[in-house]
Amino acid sequence: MASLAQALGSTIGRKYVMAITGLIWAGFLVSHLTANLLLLASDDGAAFNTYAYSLMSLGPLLWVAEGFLAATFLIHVYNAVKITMEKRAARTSRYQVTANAGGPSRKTIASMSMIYTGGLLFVFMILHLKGFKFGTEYTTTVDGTEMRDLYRLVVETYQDPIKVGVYLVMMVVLGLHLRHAVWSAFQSLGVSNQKYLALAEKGGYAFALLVALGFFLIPLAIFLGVGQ
Amino acid sequence: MSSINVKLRVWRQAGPDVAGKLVDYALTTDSHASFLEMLDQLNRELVNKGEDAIEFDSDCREGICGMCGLVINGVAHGPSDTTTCQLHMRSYKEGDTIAIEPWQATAFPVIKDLVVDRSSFDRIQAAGGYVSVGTGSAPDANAIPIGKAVANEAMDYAQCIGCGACVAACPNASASLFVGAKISQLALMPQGQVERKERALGMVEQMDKEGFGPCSNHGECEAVCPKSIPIKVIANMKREWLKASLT
Amino acid sequence: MINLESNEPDGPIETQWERTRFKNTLVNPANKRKFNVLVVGTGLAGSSAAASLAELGYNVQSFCLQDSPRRAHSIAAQGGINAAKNYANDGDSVYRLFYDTVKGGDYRSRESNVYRLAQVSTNIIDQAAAQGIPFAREYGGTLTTRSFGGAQVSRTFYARGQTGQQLLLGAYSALMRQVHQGNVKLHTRREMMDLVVVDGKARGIVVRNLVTGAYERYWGDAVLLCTGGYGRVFYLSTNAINCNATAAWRAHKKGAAFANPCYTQIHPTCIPQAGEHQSKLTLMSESLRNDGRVWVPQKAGDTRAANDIPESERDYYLERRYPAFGNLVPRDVASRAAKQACDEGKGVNVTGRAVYLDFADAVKRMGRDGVAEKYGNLFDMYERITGDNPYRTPMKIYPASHYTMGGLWVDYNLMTTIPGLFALGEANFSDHGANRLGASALMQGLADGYFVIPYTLGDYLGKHGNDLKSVDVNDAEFGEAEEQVSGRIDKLLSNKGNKSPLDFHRELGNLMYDKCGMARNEKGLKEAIEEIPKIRDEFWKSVSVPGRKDTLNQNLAEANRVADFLELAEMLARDALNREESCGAHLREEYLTEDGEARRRDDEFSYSAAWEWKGEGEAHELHKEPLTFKYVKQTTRSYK
Repeated sequence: MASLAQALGSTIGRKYVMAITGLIWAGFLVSHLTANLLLLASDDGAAFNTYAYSLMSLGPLLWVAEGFLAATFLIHVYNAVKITMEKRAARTSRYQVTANAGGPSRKTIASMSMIYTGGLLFVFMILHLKGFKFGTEYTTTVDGTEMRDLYRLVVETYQDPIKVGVYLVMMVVLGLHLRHAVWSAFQSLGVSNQKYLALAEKGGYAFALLVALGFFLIPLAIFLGVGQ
Repeated sequence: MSSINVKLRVWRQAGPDVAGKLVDYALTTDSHASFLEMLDQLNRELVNKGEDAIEFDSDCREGICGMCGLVINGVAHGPSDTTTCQLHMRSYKEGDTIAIEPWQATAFPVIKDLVVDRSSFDRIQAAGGYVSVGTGSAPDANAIPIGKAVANEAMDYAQCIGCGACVAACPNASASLFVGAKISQLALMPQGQVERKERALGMVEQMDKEGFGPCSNHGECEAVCPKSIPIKVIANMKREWLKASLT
Repeated sequence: MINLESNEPDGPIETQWERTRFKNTLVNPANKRKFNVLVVGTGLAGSSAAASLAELGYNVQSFCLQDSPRRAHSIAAQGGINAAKNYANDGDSVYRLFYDTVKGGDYRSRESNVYRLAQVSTNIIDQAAAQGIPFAREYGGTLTTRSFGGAQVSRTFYARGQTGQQLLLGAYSALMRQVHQGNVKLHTRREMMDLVVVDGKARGIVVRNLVTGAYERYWGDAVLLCTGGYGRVFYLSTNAINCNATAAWRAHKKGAAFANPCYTQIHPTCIPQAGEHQSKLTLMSESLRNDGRVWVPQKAGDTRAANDIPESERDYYLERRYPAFGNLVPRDVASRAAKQACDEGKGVNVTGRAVYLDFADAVKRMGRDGVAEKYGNLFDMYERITGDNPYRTPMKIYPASHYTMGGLWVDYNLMTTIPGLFALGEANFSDHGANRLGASALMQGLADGYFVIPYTLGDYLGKHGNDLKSVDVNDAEFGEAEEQVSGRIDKLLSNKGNKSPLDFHRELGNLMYDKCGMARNEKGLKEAIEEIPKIRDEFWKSVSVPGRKDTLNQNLAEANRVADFLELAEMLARDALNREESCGAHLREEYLTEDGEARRRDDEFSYSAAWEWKGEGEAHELHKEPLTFKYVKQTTRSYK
């Protein structure tokens, strides 16, 4: 039996790690989106801020959760870089003419640009954290409790058409990334039952579309003043 | 017999360590000729002019030996639904430009022109693609019943001809379809059970050692496979490998 | 002077092989690793022999000219493999398989060899199944069989239409296991150029590395030639384009007798030649004749499209001439009848060299889906190659060179007339007589490699191994062989002619098809014997081989092979001329019965013709190995 390090460093091991860390983040996106939908409630941000406040009051538990997410993210990035290097090394002399074979091929712009969409998402995430998590600390009081007014920060941020534009573009990027990522994760995990795999494929595309669309609509709604 | 004129752009490379490039040729050929016979004809013209023939591999020319394989206009085995040798010039129109390149992969170094070295596949096979049964030690063939459906599915995977189109077509130059097919076949057959784990670990380790890329699930391999082997075998391989790695 | 001692064991045929194995001298396990065995070729015979010998402990070196052992042309065999398992409970037995094979070979094979083949046939299926080969199965999980031409029992095992592929991949996997364990050293893209004989025994080979052009010398205590047949002497054949006779021919010139070269099998159902460019012919499974009806227009030179010719103006000549077997007559009979029809000017296709195989009735009877279920993949293949749809228009078929029963003469132990040189599989002449039955080639290749050579080689090495002089690749004999080889390659390259090797190969092939093909006569054969040396002289005068010798150069490889075919062809024609009878695949037009069937002449020709090379420019010398039939009575084959 190979050592764990060897196993995780093999081409298949890496893909298992990519799939698992990726799916964890897909899960995070679902909870993030669900929470963000609170932004659209017509309550001047009370529900959203309360939710954020309850999360922050978890204290050390939150740090563990954040640490876990950060770690899986970094492992995902590290493996992505390694995989890209390995695949480049696997073909140093490139084809002069390239084409898609069609038929059952799943090769798409999405599948071919994972490292680029992933890279953009990485940069976006840093900006996103800087803009919100580490952004201006407004305060507000909801039901007598003083708490951070993240809602105000979000609404202010998305009055700027440039920021909204960048955000919207990034959600297209996210959608592209997810389009290949989700079903592919199940294939990488070894789901070979054709029924399940077909489900994973359709479900994956639907997931990508819904998540990207959901995130896409929120700043757009804020910018257009819908529901305010 | 109807003749057509085609413009050919053929990869010429003098040896493994020198750079190659596409060289243009014009050819009038018979639309009933097979693609390889078209190249034979071009070679005959080149030879009769005293020029070096274009080297390309082929043997059975009936789609089973796995020796031929060209990337034609960016697609491994071109528009053929099986192998390059089964492609005919009637698939092309008058005046078409046809780019012909070798399989490109670090683990398949070019020997000359369109000929590549696929011995890496043999080494993967040697790393576990067998059942260790010495000559003479086999039980009666009917001693172990095998369901018709199982035998059929195993045969779907056993059909692999080892041409390497999966590697050539893969954006990552991964050999996963080839390795997955053999692992899947023997994992299904009762005879393959004893060495199931060693096989999965051994073949995957050798695959990585040879410098094939990781699988990113593009699925181009399935699309070009002359035997239509599905990427399901790759998922099988991953599961077999995981089980073997964990226990 | 060569010695044609067959070394057939005495006594009852049923126990000959058992008694032989008991009498054999054994090599003890520790001594086996002292012996070096060179195995040339990696088809069914070569792979199975190399793997089995390595398992026993011998040092094996394996050579093939393709990039991988798995490419060998055994891979293309479609139909199946015979074995006397009697799983079908339909009366099969070792004796029946033996009987059918001797009869199918038109009583021109050695009974002892054939009996042993039938005996070990059952072990082959066991071995192959144990390797994980997915043979076709019944619902209950047992192996299924089908019937094949020339047999009335169901004894053919198969794996879809790719039986050869699966069996070869099984043998290849066994070989690669031994490579992995270090017991076999594999040399790919190497072509054997000469045999090295020391003190009258085969002791080594000179090969050419096809990638670097370098000559390499290997020594061994024995050499096994598993290099296939010479069907490409006809240029167009169903063989792979790299199939060649060079290894066997060079061994022949070093003293190995070549037996029955005129026994060449022509397969009746191949896709006909479409044009001058054609490089090979593709075989369509014989099973098509189960439902297809063969016909030609009644009127010679009828150029109407097939579907425009009314029923009353068609000649279903097989059904007319052979009412009992109809379209299912054996291969040789079907091939000959097709040629006769074409010779009468009734042939179809632009070349006039094709007959129709019509499925219109089958489609009416079974429906299009029924036909598709049975023959769908064959129909697809046909359409891919020809562009015609056989559901709508009849297929066009024509016979093509497919298999050669002749080959290096071997004794019961598969040893040639050069001690230490063995020939296995299609490369030898041993088991099929004048005609091979379907699904028997795979059986013979694997029988020789898995179950015969491990015993007979052991006996040779046990008896003579310790007396063999120690040799080294720097010995004079190796030097001389390499010098000859390199001289010939240099001559080919320096020749500044204007015709490609392919041109000569085509020219030879056309001549051979015409004069030494499906039907032969004295006049044509004499013309061929006169014509072939002329082509050969012309070849050495005006062949052009561009490129260099120190890189991959497939034209050079082809030229070297064509040069040997040009010599072998003449021997083939002489053998055909000598054999003044019709038997199996060899048909002499002078020797036909009143109703046009083959007429054997057992009194004069019940022998195997072994030809000895007497030197450049000298005529071959004929030696005869008489054939005696103690078990199977020589009768006239009739399929009427």
